[in-house]
Amino acid sequence: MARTNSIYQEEVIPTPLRHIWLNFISYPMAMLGLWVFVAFLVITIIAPFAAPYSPELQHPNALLYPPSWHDDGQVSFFLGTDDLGRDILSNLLHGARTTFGSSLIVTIFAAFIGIFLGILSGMSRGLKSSILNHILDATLAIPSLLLAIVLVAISGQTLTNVMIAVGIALVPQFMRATHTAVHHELTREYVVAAKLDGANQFQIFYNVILPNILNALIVQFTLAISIAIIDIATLGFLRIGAPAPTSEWGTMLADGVDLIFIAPWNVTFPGMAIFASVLAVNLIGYGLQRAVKEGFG
Amino acid sequence: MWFYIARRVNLFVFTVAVLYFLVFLMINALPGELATNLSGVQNPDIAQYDEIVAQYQLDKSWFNQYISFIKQRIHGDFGISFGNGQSIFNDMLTLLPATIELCVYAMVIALIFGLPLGILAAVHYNKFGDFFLLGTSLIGYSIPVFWLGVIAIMYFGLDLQWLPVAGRLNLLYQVDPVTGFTLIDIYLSNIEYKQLAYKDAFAHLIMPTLTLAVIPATVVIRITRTTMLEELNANYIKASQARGLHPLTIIFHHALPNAMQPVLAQISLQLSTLLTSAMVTEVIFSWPGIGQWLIQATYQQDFPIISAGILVCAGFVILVTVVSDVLLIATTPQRRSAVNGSN
Amino acid sequence: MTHGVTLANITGNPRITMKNWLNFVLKSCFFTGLFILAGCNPNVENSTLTPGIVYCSEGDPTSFNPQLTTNGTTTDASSYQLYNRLVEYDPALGSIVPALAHHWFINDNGKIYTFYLRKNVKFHHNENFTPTRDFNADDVIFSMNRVIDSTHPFHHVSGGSYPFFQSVGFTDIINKIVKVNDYMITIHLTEKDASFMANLAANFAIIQSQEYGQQLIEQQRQSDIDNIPIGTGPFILDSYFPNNHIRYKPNQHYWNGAPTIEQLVFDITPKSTNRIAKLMTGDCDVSALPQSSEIEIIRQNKKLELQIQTGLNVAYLGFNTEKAPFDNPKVRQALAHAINKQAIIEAVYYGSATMADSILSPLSWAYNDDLAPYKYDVDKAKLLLEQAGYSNGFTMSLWAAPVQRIYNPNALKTAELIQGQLALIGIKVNITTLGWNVFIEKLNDYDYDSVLMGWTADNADPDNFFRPLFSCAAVLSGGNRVNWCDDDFDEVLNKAIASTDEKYRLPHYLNAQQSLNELVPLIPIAHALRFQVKRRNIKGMSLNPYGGISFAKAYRKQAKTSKQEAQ
Repeated sequence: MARTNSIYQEEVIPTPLRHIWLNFISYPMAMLGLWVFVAFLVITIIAPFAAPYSPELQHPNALLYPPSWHDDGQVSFFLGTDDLGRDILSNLLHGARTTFGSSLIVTIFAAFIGIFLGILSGMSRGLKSSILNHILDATLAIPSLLLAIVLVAISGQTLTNVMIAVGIALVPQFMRATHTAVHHELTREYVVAAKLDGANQFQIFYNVILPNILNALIVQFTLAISIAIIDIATLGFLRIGAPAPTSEWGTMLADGVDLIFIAPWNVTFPGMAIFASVLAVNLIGYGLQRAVKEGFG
Repeated sequence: MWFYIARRVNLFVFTVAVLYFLVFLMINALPGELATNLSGVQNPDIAQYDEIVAQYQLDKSWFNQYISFIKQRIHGDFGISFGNGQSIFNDMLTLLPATIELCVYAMVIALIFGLPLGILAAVHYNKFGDFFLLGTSLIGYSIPVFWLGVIAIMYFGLDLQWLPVAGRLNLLYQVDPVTGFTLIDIYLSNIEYKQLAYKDAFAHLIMPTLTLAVIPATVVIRITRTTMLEELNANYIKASQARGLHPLTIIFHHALPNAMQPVLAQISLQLSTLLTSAMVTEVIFSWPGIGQWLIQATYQQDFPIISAGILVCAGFVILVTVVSDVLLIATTPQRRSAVNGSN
Repeated sequence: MTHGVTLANITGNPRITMKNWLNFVLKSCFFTGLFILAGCNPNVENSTLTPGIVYCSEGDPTSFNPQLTTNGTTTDASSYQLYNRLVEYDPALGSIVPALAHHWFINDNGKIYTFYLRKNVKFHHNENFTPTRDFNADDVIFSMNRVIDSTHPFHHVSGGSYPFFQSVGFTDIINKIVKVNDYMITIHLTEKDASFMANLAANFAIIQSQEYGQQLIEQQRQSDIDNIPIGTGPFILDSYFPNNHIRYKPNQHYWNGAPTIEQLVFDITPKSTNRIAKLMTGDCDVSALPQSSEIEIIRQNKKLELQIQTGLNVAYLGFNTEKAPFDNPKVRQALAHAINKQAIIEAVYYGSATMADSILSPLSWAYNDDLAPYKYDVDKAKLLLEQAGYSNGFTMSLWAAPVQRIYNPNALKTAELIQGQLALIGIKVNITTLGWNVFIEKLNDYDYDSVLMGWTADNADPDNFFRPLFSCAAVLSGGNRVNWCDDDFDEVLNKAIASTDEKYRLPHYLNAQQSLNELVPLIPIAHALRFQVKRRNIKGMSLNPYGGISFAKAYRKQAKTSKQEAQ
């Protein structure tokens, strides 16, 4: 395709990455996901400044206020209050830092570690590869929740430990995806060609394999973010996540279940927040997948 | 093929050994006395302590400890729980069928609904039906399972009061747990009012199973759609179209069996995610299975139960993966060569 | 990769393919099935078809012998269901009434109690045991000596700890029990004790079978006496599935009339929301301990009925008075000023409680209404902290259990409120929580700085609030959560029970409350109203103000409507 905005008749062929981006933009749903994602990102960063109240602040005279659009609601408590008088909007905003923000951080770390290990295992052959493969299988077989439970039981219940636990549960997935992708690439003819050219392992990897697996890795990354968000929220819901005063969407949901008869908005809003963030990430992932597949058509 | 099965079994054993090693490391890392965490006996007196040391060879090297750890577990000795001092193995036998029941029914429903919808989406590619199904499956995949469960309880259980919200069976029906699967047990029992008992059990099953089935169903839809699309564009399909076969014959008799393989392969990969969702579902619906038991144990810091739970759950996943691999290979010859060749 | 050539294109028209149609049929079958199911919901008015009552209980019992504990969950599951006592307390009459003893008298110096025992009372039988004789004096002596006599073969079985009896000093006060004949015993006390009869009527003073004990010794299965119980009560234990349910069968030979229901099931449901949900959908007929937030919903639901009782209970924040800085009364007083009790009552109890200034409720005859209350005053609190030398504040642990109790429907929320309130005076609170049974056990290690607990009276005697909570004996037996042992205070309590005359006892109790108010080993927070929820068609269940729940007289009222014929 020829795109140009200069007056000269030139054919500018977009690079593969730009091509994917152009494809991505053309999917409205994926763009919606991207905008929502960016919105959450912004919230995560500015939460302490944007939240009207401190999330732990209890208002003893303002218990269980409904959202402001109800008759009994008040605009000063925009989404209502919970049964200790804490503002739900502020808690949601701060919870974004915990649930959304820390899952991003966790995924980035897990991606680095997992991809690195996956490349190592993918490039190796024979017995070493086989052993790594089986360790991978065994770790993948352990449900992520159980892994998190054990790690929290061993090292105590703090936000850092929860993040580490979820990260450790994510690493095998990255490893597996990278390993498969690298292995797939290694069977290609151009790798053989490069080897015949005299490239060593590192050069083969950096120049030949990496560009081709990048797409699969990006898709895996978005998938991992959504898994991380849900895992952290699930741990919070089961009350083995971040401890009491920390706001977290899953914990807010669990607290809301106790009030489900008289104040159902305590359940709806955190749930919608989790749902929206995961949906946004999944939309982005889906858009990327399609963009990559239709990349060069 | 037997060679492949032997290889697979070999790998299974090795993977399980690695799993035991990981759990062994975990138990060593847990706070508290190693002897207590391994056997479940809190504050053992001298005789009991000596017995534990002998059983788990705690006075020898870590490798001996690891081997005797495996030996104890294989013989069914998972220790006793901190909470009520009961044998963990016996508790597990009663609870495991409940979780398996939930997972199996959910998977079956996911397949029953997912396969046809996936085929539908593939057939209507790039049209409204496709987008609609894709969108629905994305939404379903993004809903956290605990939120879905709570909303379902709120709406169907409390607002409309159509369905019960907790447990497997109204407790006034005294059904002896012979197999652990409620419907079979009702059949085998000799209570009066079996019809009502079936209805009651079924009513209790609906919400947890459907809640659990949502995520696997969306995965099945997406994968079926992808593989069906690939198949439908293969040359042999075009050839059969050219030959004039009826579209339905083409879909069911030719394309679907080939498209099924990746779907079934994916199912076993999804199993550990399914177990996680099942555990959360059990907690929400008070379903008496392994998941709820494990979560309770976490609150009470009951380490023997936690480590036993990991062994059982992960072992179960590995077993199902291996079995489904073998079945797949046994039924589809073309995969064998690929497997034999690579690693 | 184009997908231009698809089946839809080839076949041409977007008509309904068979797959579409199959889908449609499947979905419509599913929904139809759902509707049919909803219509024929067997849980609605199923009186003739599932005879029995299901009770939603809040937790697992620790054993089936209430002698071993003061835990309300255990006593609910065992005391009134499986056993009887020598005497009982009738709340309607406000006095002690006969049970296994049909007549008694106390001699002039108040030290010898004579009991005439009821005849023709039969013990339960189960797979392992069939009684060969009726209840008689041997069983009374067996049960009571188990608690007080350390040479009794069952004294050390199941732990050897009898917290209620230890805290009221049973071992010291009972000199000997004499069997006069098969149906008459005398109990000789070492000194007068006005609360003795009331203690014999408590939940915990049950009578077990001596014959069963004998058999278990021969079979070397002594712990069965508390796990596979045999008593004289209206129900027999049929099966127990931990964390799931307890099943009871009626005792057809019960001396006070066999229960009319065919089975009784305790459905163990720790979360209150689930209990109410089960109540509403009919999976449960009676439920324990609703949360205050659910009271309104229950009131509005036509099928449910709410029973309310003013509570002889107290919720308190107790300090570990042996641990610094809580060994300093000034610190405790400072915290007392920093707690906003009104806020807690509104947020946790939704107003269904009265603020507590003393551990006794204003309903008690021994209540001291001259106490100087600790008003909510943050500045005074800070001042007192400074005087005690902690102007920079400190960190403390606060233990709270994640279950509802009669005195506190939500200890975790209370803990969070207190955390927020103490932060205002510079104290950082770390909340620790564990499963209820583990919690109770770990409390005995006294590792905590403070704990949110409470107490429900077992009888109308004010002594029931003091000795089990504050006596030195109670530190050993585990009821004294504030780790407080003051010999002078014990002296006051002992004097108070030396007479049965209220006029004589009152000044001692006023004195005791005054001391507690000055030294503040615990901060009383609230006296909660007691609630019990049940479905409207369950009758015969009265609410016992002293805790404990009995299904002996419960029955399900048949709804004689045309629905029965339709089904």
